[in-house]
Formats: sequence, C-alpha cells, structure tokens
Amino acid sequence: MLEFLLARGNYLLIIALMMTGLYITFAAQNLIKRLVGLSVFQTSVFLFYITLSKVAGGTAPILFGKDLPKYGYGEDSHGGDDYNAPAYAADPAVTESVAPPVDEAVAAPADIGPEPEAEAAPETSPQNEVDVLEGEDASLMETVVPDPMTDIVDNAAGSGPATPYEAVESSLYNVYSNPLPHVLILTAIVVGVATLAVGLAIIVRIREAYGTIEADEVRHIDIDVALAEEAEDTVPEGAA
Amino acid sequence: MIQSILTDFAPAWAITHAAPLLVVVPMMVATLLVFVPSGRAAWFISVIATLASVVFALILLGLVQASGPVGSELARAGIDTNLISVGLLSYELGGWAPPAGIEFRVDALNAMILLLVTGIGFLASIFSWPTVNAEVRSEKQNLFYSAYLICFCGLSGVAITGDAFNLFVFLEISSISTYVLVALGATRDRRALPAAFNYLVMGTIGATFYVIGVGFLYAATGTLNMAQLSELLPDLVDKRTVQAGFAFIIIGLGLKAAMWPLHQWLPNAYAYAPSFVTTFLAATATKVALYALIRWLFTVFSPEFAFEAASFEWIFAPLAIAAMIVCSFQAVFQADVRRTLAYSSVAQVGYMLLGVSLATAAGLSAGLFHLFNHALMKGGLFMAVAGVVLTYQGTTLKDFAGLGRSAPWTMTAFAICGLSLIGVPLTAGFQSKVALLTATLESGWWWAAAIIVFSSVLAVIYMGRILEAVFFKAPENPRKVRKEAPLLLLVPLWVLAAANILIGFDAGLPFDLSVDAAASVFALEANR
Repeated sequence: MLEFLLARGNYLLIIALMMTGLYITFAAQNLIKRLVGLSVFQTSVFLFYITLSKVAGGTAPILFGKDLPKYGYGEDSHGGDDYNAPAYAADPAVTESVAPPVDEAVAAPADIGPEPEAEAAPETSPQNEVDVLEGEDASLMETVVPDPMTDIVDNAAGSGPATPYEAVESSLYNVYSNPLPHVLILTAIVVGVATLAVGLAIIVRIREAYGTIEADEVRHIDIDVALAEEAEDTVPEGAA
Repeated sequence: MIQSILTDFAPAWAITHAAPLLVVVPMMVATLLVFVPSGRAAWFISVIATLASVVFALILLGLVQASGPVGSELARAGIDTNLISVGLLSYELGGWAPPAGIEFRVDALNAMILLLVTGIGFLASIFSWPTVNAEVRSEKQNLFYSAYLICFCGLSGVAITGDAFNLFVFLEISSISTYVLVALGATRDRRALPAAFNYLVMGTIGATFYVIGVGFLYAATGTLNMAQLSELLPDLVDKRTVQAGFAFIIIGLGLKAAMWPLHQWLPNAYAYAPSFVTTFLAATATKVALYALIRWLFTVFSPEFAFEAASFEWIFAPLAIAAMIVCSFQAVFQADVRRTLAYSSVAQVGYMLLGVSLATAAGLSAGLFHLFNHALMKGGLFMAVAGVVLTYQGTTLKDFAGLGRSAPWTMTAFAICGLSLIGVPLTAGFQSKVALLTATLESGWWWAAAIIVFSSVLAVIYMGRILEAVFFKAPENPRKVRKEAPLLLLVPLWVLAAANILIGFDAGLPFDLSVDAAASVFALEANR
C-alpha cells in the first residue's frame, strides 16, 4: 500500500493542491483569496502536465552529445532559406529534436503489451526496463523509478497506438524528457497570469465601487440597494 | 449560392489562406486599434474586420461544400448520408504537418458555426456604435473594440481549430476578453464588477478542467490532434484514463456552454454587461462552447463508446430537461427583462443539448438548427433591449410598459424575435422546435417531446409578460414620448427579425447547413 502511494507521490501532491485550490476558491469570501485559490488550482494542473512529461532516467530535452544535429537551427531548418521544404515531419533535424520523447513516454510501453510485468518485452531500452522493474521489484524504486506516470501510461498500453515517431526513437543516443508538456504549460502559465491580472484589476474596481473586497459584503450591499429601490419604487435601476 | 460565387471569384491567396485569415485578421486589427485615437474610427475598422471574417467564413463554407457531397441534397434524394465521404479542409499552420503541428480543420459542422459567429459578430458590430458610445467612456472606446475583436477572434479560433490544446488557448483568449468586456458594464451599473469576477472564477475553473481532461488524453494517446485522437481512442475506451479525461472535458466545456447547473455565471454577466456585449455573447459565446462540446462528443469521442452513451442518457438528457424546466420557471419570475432573457438562454441551451443527447443524426441536426435560430432570435431580442437601454435607460419590466406605442419599430422586431423564441408558427423557433420534436419522437422519447411542449408553454408565459407590458400597458413613465432607437441599431435588428420570419416560412439555408453538419459528423464517425 505504502509503495503504491509512494510510487504516485506526485499525483497525490497534485490532487492535494488541486483540492486545496478549489476549496479556497469556493470557501473564501475575500476576493483576492479566491484568486489565490484559483492560481493554486491552476498550478496543480501545471504540475500534472510536468509530471506527465517526466521520462524515467531522461535528461532535459536539450540535444547534446551524439544527438546533436549536424547543423544549426538558425539557417537550415524551419524558417531559414529552405522554406519550401514544408513539413515538420519531413525535416530530419527538426523531427529528431522534438519528436522522440513523446515516443519514450507513451509509445514505448505500448510495445510490451497489457501487463508490464510480463518479461516478454524484447526491447532493452531504458524506458522498458524501468517499466518491467516497477511492476516486479519495488525495492529498486529508490534508484530507478521516480516515475508514477507508469500507471497512466500502462493504461494506455493495451493496444499500442502507433505514433509517427517510432522510427526516430532508436536513432537517439540519450533519453530525454518529453518537451511538449513543458511548452503547453508555458502557454497555460501565460493564460493563467493574464486571468490573474484581469481578476486583480476587477477587484481593484470592485473596491472602488463598493469599498470592500469581501464577496458577502458586496452581496449584502447589492441586496440592500435593490430592496431600497424596491421600496422607493424609483425608476432607473441603472443608477444604483 | 453566395459562397460558391465567392469561391469562384476570390483571389487565390484568399482561398488558400482563408482559414487562418479568418482568425488572424481580427487579431491583428485588435492590436492596431489600441493606437486609433477615436472611438468612431475604431468602430468603423472593427466593422470592416468582422466583414472580412464573414467573407472568409463564406469562402470556407463554399470550399467545404465544393470539396464533398452536400449531405442535404443526398438526404433529399434518399441516399444514406452515413456512408458518404465528407468535405474537409485542413490547413497546416506554418507548414508544420499535423499531428505534430497545429491544424485548422474545417468541415460542414464548423463551417456552419463559423458563418454564424462571424455573421452575428458583423451585425452586432454594425449596431454597436450608438450603444457603445452611450455606455463606454470615450477614451476607452478604442480599447473596448480591441477587446471585442480579440473575443471575436478567440471564438472563431475555437470553432476552427483541430488541435485540442489550441482550442483551450482560443477558449481562454475569448474568455479573458469577455471578462473585461463584461466588467466594462460598470459605468452603467456597478454590479457588472462582481458579475464579471464570478464569471472569471467559474470560467477559469471550466477552462482548467478542460486542460486536465486534455492532459489525461495526452497521457493515454500521446497526441493533441483531434483527428488523430479520434483514430486512437476507439482502442482505448476501456482505460480509466480516457474516461476520466472525457469527464473533465465535458464538465469544462459544459461550464463554458452554460449547461445546467453550471450556468450560475450567466444571468448576472448577461444582465449587467454593456448592451452590445450581451448581444454578442448571447448569440455566440455559449454557441461556440456548445460546438466544442459537440466536436468532442461526436468526432473525437464517439457515441458508440459505452461510457458516452451512458452519459447521453444519464447526464445530458436529464440536465437538458432540468434546464428547460427550471430555468424557464426562473425566467418567469424575473423583474428585469435582460435577466429573463438570460435565464431563457440557459433553458434554450437545454433544447440544444436535448437534441445532441439523442445521439442520432436527426437529433444532432435539430440541435444545431435550434442553435442557429436561437442565435438569430436572442441576438435580435438583446439588440432591441439595447435600443431601450439607449433611449430610456432602463431594463425592468416597468420600463418596458407602453413602449409598443413610443418605439413601434424597435418593439415590433422585439416581438417577432420573442414569438420566435416561444416557437409560434411561421417563425424560425417553430421550425427548429418541430425538428426537435420530430427527432425526439423518432427516437421514441415521447416524454422528452412532452417536456419540450411544456417548456414552450413556460416561454409563452415569460415572453408574454414582457410583450403584454410592451403593447397593452399604458406607459407609466412620463418621459416616454415617441423615441425610436437610432437607425444604425434598427437595421441589424430588422435583419435578424426578418431572418426569423424568412426561416419560419422556409427553413432553407440553416436547415441545410445543420443537416450537412450532422451528416458530416456521422460520416466521419462511420469512416473511422
């Protein structure tokens, strides 16, 4: 049981953060605290994506050593003179640099079939070994398996989706973490910051209009004004 | 028709790049508007920009119709539309081929939604100037239009993209600008601020739920491209990862689409936003979110998945019915006309969801048809309300009393759209409700048909209250001399009212579009 939990430590942490954030968002009356709760909630999702991208034993997704492309990016690949060589997938330099980690994370376990414990897997790539070990021998967890993602990946493993990246994987020397979730989360962080900024700006305006940033007080003020209007039976509601 | 003429005569670059230009033109113009000093110039530029998007949407529609058999024609000829190949356009952004690159993917379903969003956006921006001039401070008008175009660009982006994460980005582009636009209603009524804040919190939770769902699917499949997801998912239906992802995505998009009971942000946001913003949002924002929901339900996931079939039966249909009844009742008891219409919007989302939850081609096309018509009628209703706000500064039922005599043109159009909302024969609402009734009866859901009729009776009550005040009550307010809304507002309003009547006589274009859309969705389904 403990091993089961420890192997999924990241996810437990993420769930805890997520619930904390959601709870603050709903329970706090202070509007700024609500926004903070919202940010915590969003942050937990960022961490979830980053956890997904982690490949056991993988290094940062920056090509080095034997994986380094023969030529630089500035001129020869996308955006350079060679503009007409169109697609991403057709350009070896670019494909190598971006594609393989997806494969590491997702398609590789697919090769070993539904039960990761089955020793049938012929491949000896580091990722596969890790999966096999995780199923069989929890004592190695400390050294090899900071990889709670396996659970989710195993779920996907049943049918073996053929990704277009399979061919490239074998040509890489080092193992890289999947860069795509990092990029996605950079975008999501920007979105989150924009939301936070707009939210804070609205709170400033609420403070100017109502003199308070407590949601319940704002609500009471609105109700009082509406009741007073009702009583006076004045016409323009907009003048509240 | 017009779309095929356009595809014949448009320049080559416009045809090749119509898909990205539709989104990019408003986005770029929005940034330029920041430097435009006068509000009137900003208004004029944004009308031009939205018109450009309408043209691109028409070109896309023409291309889609030209590239594949038109479902509605085949249906009339008695050919089973489930077996045909469908028109499909794919545009690789930056030349990066999908599935690795982001793809804009247009088929009959989103060609229809794009036409709706851009068309309503264009009409709404024509009508916007008088109300924006009255409700937004002059130094902020250009920024207001900038935010509007960003919102417009985000909504059309959601409708056009074929990439799951890109959809989230566009959803948030439109949502964040919407929060700003709603908050700008504070110059008229400070309650716009808490409304915008609540919308922000709810909207962000919805979008984040969507991202979580996409994350689960990415973990299971390793792709974010919707087309590739739809190929990979059938083999993974039993995985809990996929099912959890499905649940998160449905909740997230349901929040944005104001699916009952996730609609709490909507009534206040619609009631206190500037009139123009309400008009635009009511006619497009929830529609686009609903489109995204349909896209996920029918082309990425499949109604054949056991868990999705169960969710149609046990989640969508009950929630749709709850929306139709509960929110119609709530609409009856509102004193403010805009709140009545806002609650009615949630109820109408229920109609569309009910059509969708039938999971048949007839149900889906009825839901889409109602979606289209509802955009026309709610757009018209809120435009008329905007005219009243402009001339009489009030939106309560009392303010509307006797307006039929003081502003006959505005109020006649209001009445036409209102009757259409009820579903009176010879209006658009009648056509789509009949389509919906037929679809429910075909599926044997007679109880759902009964509830549609019952909810329409409730619509008679809440619209009847307003129309009674407008036409049969004496004006209580002495200010009410004859005072019509300005012409700039009347023209788009009457375009929408006339469209409601035209569609009432001959379902024509929107019906064909929705049948095409449903046929193409089910053909994609059959082909995979």
